[in-house]
Amino acid sequence: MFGRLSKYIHVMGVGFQNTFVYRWNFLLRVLFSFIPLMGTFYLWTAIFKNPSVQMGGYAFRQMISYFLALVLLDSLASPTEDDFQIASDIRDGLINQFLLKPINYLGYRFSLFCSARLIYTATTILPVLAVLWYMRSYLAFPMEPSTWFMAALATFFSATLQFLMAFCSAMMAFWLLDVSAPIFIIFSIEYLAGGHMFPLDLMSKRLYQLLMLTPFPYEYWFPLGVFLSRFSSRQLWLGFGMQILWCLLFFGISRLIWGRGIRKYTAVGG
Amino acid sequence: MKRYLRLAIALFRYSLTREMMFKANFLLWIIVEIAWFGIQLAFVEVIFANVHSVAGWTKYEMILLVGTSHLVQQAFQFVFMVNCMELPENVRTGKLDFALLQPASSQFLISVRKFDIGALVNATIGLGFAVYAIGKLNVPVGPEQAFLYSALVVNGVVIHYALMLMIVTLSFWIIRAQGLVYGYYNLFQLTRIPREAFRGGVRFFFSFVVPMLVVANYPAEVLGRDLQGWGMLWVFGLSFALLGVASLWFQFALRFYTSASS
Repeated sequence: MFGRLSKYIHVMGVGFQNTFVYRWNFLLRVLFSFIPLMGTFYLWTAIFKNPSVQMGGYAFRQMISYFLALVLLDSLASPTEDDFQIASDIRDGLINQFLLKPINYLGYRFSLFCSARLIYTATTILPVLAVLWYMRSYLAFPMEPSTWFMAALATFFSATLQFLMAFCSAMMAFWLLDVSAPIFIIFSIEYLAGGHMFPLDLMSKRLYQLLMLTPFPYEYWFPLGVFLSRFSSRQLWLGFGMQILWCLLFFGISRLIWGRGIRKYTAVGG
Repeated sequence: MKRYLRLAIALFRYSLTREMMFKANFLLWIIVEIAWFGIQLAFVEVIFANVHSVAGWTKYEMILLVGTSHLVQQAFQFVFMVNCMELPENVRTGKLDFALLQPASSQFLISVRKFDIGALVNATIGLGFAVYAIGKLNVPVGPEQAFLYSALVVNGVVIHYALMLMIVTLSFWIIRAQGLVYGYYNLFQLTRIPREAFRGGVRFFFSFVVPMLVVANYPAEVLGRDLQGWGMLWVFGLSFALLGVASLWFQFALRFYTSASS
């Protein structure tokens, strides 16, 4: 068992090194990602300037906490360039080597994804903590350890789901020459329907209920909602159930597309 | 000058032909931008379902701001963005040689090479929403306001270009500088926020040093919020100065180019 796992752990090590080869690129990316957070902070401060404002039951502190927690979630669970790298592996024939060796490409990519997330979090943790400390008076983070545990669990499933969805969409490269436009379209849907732009319960109830049937809210909104205690215990378990269901479904879809794609694959440039 | 205009027209025709070779891709990229613009409008809609004004801006003033921000960003993408984005890769692979060896300004050739025709379509959509918002605001727009609006939109494009050029020029020292380009996408987001929402040093920084709060706020205010006449002339001076600095910075960085492949 360990023997089979050790190669994936080795891949993670390679992933660490790869990130550090281009460390400036990486650091700048981290640094720039704080700009939208700042914009968001000032915008919501302006929105809540009138103390009587009620935003779907959110107070100012809860709203700011939502976006601060989103920064943490993004660094822990959101793929950055994984989908584009997978697509270029397929397009340039680089997956040939995985077809010939006893290593699973999905497992290989998942190891790289985990290493990237770990490095990213390790690098961002200091600036993020500094920001959290600076904004501590605005925070409404939970006190109970059980909430933190549930949120961590929801974050883990969110990471798995986000990775599998990125993997599936990248496999369009078996059929399309350039997948970046479709990937950006999917990304825009995830952004809005996933709760990256604003908490989803600000929408009308009907639209909200409809969205909760799709996989998108389980990427961002559900783990954040768990963290900020927005759900009843029934909604909580239903949410976890849906998260696991979507993970299994996308795992199945990824196997299916991979099987079909390989048959279509022409090993260009191999 | 005339020569560069002819060159730009020839490059535009070349870009158009290129785009038409991949029609589906061309349409898909237009849809990508429409989707992201739609998200911004959805955000405004959700906010104003709960509040009446944000930093003193009403709903349609905000739509005017978001539309104008989109217009400026897409106009910038139409001419400069793709080219600036390709600079890091051209430096890394040594393909920049081709631009340096041509009998024309290197900065011109790396900045205006491919036109992003899809962005032109999206700029029109942004303008459409700005016009729609003006209609809803019911404010009279005379020739003076229309002229100032156009001039300030161009001014915004110049600011984007100057800053982007300064950023991607760093690629002469930093190999693989996609992180920089990604960073600029984050800056775009600030242009859609009313400048009154920012305070203190942050407002100063994003008004005078990295003037993202000038790009779309000023043109929108001229039309929708009755920003009075010629008091904002300084913003033209600012973009002119930025362009000068960017150009000098680029010329300086060129000296460090090592032409990787040859």
